[in-house]
Amino acid sequence: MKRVLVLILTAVFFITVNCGLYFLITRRLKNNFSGAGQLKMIDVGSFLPFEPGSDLARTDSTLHFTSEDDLPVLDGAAALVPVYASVIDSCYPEGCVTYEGGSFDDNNYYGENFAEDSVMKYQNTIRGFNAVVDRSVDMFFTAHPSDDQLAYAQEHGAELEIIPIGLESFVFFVNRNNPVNGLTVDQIRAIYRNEITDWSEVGGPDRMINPVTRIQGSGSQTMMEKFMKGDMISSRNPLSIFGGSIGYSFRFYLSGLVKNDNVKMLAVNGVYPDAENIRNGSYPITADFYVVYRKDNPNPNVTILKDWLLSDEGQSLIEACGYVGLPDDGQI
Amino acid sequence: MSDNRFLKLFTLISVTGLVITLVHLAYIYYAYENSSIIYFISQEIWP
Repeated sequence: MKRVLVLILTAVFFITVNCGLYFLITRRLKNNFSGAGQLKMIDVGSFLPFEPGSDLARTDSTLHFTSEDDLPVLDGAAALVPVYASVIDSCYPEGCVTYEGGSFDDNNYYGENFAEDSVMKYQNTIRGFNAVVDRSVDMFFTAHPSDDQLAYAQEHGAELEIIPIGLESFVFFVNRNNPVNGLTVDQIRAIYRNEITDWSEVGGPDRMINPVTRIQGSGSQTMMEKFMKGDMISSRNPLSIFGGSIGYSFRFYLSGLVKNDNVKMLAVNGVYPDAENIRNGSYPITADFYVVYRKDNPNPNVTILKDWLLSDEGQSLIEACGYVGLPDDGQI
Repeated sequence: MSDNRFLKLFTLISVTGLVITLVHLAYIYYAYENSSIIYFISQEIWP
């Protein structure tokens, strides 16, 4: 009888450990298990130009390309799909976008969900940037390219124009039930340098901090490395995965696209990242976002479109998409 | 239960449990590196 009990307890031990791991971690892991999965950060089908039900900004434009024009092919980061899809919707002729749908998988890795002759593509930051260098895309909408991406361009002899077209804030977020509502810049840097490891050190409960990072080369990871001035943590307590997490993203991606009500953005230095605080400069971590194209791109409409993006009309469209336009002195 | 049978059963359960746990941990390591961080944080449990 005693031996049977030992056997049962041994089995119960492993079942408990695995159920505990599942409940605390495994069930929270979702999406992005392959390179292809990482592409599907947003539902592109919701942002298709010329579709009546699309979730796009529609503002007045005096720039109207025709089907006779050499139409610049646009691509961009996930968070900027609404912007360049709205640009196409406002300035391009109908019929130039062909969305073939289908699922993103490892056989559909480079965004072939858009037809080859479609002027709209979606390959997200890492692959889309390379597509500009390789000339299969004319203009790429993105956060500032990473050092690796710039090196890739240099290796391939591509001189790039990197033109700021709008403002975005970089935000930090936690679970909505985390009692901490704000941090200072110094506290955030200390967390990601492993100098602050518990929420109780920043006014929260006694619980470890789990500082979550993003994949290398993504727009938000590049921005974070810049924010940390190249001094990120290299190792941390593996048990912190059971702690209360903090993550980072761009504001519009988090609040405008993903719209997950179970996370909340943190105020930084006492300032909440809303549009007004970004525009007036009181929110401390803002960054431009850009359109990138090759300097030697022979298509004259690339420059025309770039100038339009910087005009009042282009800036109005960017604002209508939920982003913040450049300060007045940044416009032409 | 004989000693021999007990040892066999104990080894079987322990090794099976250990293998399952190690595979589970390996999956967590792999999936965590590639997971949606927004979803991961949104599902966190706070008292």
